[in-house]
Amino acid sequence: MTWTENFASADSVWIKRILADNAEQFHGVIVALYHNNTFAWAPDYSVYTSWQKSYDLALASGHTMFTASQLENFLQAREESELTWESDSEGVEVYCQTTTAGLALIVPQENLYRPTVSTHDAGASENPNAVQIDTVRILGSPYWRIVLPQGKFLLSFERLTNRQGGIQ
Amino acid sequence: MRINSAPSLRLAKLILLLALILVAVAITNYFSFYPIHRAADEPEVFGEVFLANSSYPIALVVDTSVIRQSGKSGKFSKTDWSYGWINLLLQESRQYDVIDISELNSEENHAFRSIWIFTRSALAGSASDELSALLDSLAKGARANQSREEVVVYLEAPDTLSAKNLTVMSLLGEKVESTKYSQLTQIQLPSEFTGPTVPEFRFECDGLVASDAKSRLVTLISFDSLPVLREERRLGLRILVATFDFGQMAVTIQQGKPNDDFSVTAKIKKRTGLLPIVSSDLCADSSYYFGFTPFFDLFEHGLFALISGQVSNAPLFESSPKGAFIMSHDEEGMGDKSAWMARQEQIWGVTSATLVTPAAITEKGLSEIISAGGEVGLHIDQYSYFKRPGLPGLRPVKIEYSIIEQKKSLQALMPSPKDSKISINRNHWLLWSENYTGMLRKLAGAGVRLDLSYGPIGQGIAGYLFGTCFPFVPIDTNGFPLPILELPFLFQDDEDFASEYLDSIFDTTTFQSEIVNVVFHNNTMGHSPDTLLMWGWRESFQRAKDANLPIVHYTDVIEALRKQDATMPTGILNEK
Ligand SMILES: [Zn+2]
Repeated sequence: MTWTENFASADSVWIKRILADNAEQFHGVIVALYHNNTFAWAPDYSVYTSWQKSYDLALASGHTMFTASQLENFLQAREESELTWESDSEGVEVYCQTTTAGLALIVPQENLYRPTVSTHDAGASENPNAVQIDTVRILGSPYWRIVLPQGKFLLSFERLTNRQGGIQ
Repeated sequence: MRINSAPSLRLAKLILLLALILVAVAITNYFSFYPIHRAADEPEVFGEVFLANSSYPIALVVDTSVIRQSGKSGKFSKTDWSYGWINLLLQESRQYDVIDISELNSEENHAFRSIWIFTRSALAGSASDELSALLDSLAKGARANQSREEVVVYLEAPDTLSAKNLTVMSLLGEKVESTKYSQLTQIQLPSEFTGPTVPEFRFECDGLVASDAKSRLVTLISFDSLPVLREERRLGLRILVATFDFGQMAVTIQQGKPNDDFSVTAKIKKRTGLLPIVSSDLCADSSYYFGFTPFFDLFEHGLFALISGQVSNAPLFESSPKGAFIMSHDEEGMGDKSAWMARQEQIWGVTSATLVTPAAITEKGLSEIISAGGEVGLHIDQYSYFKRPGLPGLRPVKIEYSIIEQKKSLQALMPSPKDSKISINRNHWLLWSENYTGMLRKLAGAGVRLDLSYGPIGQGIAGYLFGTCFPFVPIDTNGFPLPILELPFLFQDDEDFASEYLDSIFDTTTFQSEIVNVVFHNNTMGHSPDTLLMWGWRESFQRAKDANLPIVHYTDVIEALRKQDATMPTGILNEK
């Protein structure tokens, strides 16, 4: 849980900062708690407005809205997915199989080129172009974020040191 | 010689003792759970003769001896309600004289008036020649002051237009069928003022004027197709003759319509169990509950326009030609936490009144409300908490805290002496007492200046229940005014509040003198939370601003009356 409504004046400014920090740095799951009965024991209009606004603020800062059971499904899909890799001096190859669309791999960019994607098995129907790759920062360091459709994929990262003069 | 008690006797004694203990415990327990209820001793102030002469151009003429005599009957329809007029004059002008007809002999007294209102009491039993002499004398007075505009004389015919009492109309050359008019003694709100004509009425009083070319009389108002106000010019005067009892109408509508014997209690008890009366019970016609038109204020406004020949323009607040808005919160024993609304209103840049039951709140909560700019008044509660004298486990009686005790408790908690003038009140649960003016007598006796307990209660009930949102002076059952003001409110948040309420209220408030005031309890979000209420609370302020209504306190209403030197029964405007 990230905050409860009556904690440290959970006003919109404070919530905005937490969401921004999470979107830019931590990429965790934010859980907000607004008690149904707060107005019976600690009435405060700012609690009401922070509850109202938190949905919009979360979406605006790029968060996805989950219920607890949706989150559980997500975690289960992650659990059921397979991930293996092989690494040598030239690069890293990652094999993955996802049971649901929308899961993402986060890989440190340090010394790795943007990966190339191919379908893992011959004859698979997945389109490598459906894989979205961009950069996110976690605690200041750059990472590759690879958002995967459902299916099997092979991601090939070449090491920077493997190419001449090498910056991507 | 020693005689030993037989064992059976000892056993019997023991059983008896145990039985007695058991009975004592049972009785003690019973009265702990169902204590004997004792009402508080409350000093009462009764309606009193009220006369005022500051040489204002409007003179209301009453006959206090007629009123006193009529009040003794104890019958609503027999009582003379001439004092009901002071509320029309309070709303429309505020500066008027009240003169007993016995004081009316001086001719110079006649010279400077432009409007004379001779109430039903003043004309009771007047013979034709007396009326002639009176009109001659007034005409002389009018001629003596030639610079004056036309002098208006409003004559209120006595209740039963028997042959003897037909003199007023006969004097004006009209033959009247007495049987027709006697129906009007039981005043009901005429259809003209309940139908859709009301909104136009405020602008077009002429709409009610029906001129009869053959007659020298012009009908100004008719109720259900009977002419009840007619005009004739003679002797250089504009003479209006009314055959409806305005005073009774005013009391009936603004104070509710009690049974003839004033005791609504029996009926209400039968219907609601043991609960005392609530203000909605005083209003006989439930169709008024749902109207957001201040129908009686509009009627007064229109009637005064017909009398004076022009629509009055006498706003209570100089800055606002349209009235004002007051937000009020009933604290409901919530204690210091109730300050949350005042705190938020300060952030919004608005203000409100918090009406407090001095049971749980402390000085801290009250300071918070006051330092946030809020006003504090009483919310007397004679229903939820009581004095329970006795020993632990043996408290067979519960005694109400008197209004004075509650007021003193609140005053003692106020953060500074400056704030401790408590002059406003709303009864918790809007509970009334054994008759419809009894509670007002007690409130007046406790020094309350402005009471706010009239208003709708019950799911989905809202609106101008008493036809008004202008403060009025209640008339006691003896026919004389009480030294207190009553200001009804429009709705309570926890009685099925609907957003349409706000649309209706602020649509119809184009009237100069309405004090639109509403109730949002401090604790509703605790027991019946609803985002609609949070919206409504905030939106009420916004709508008031959009309608250019100043957001004021209840004490500002008293202050505005004081500032304008309003003619009021003794004591209401005094500092206390
Ligand atoms: Zn209450």
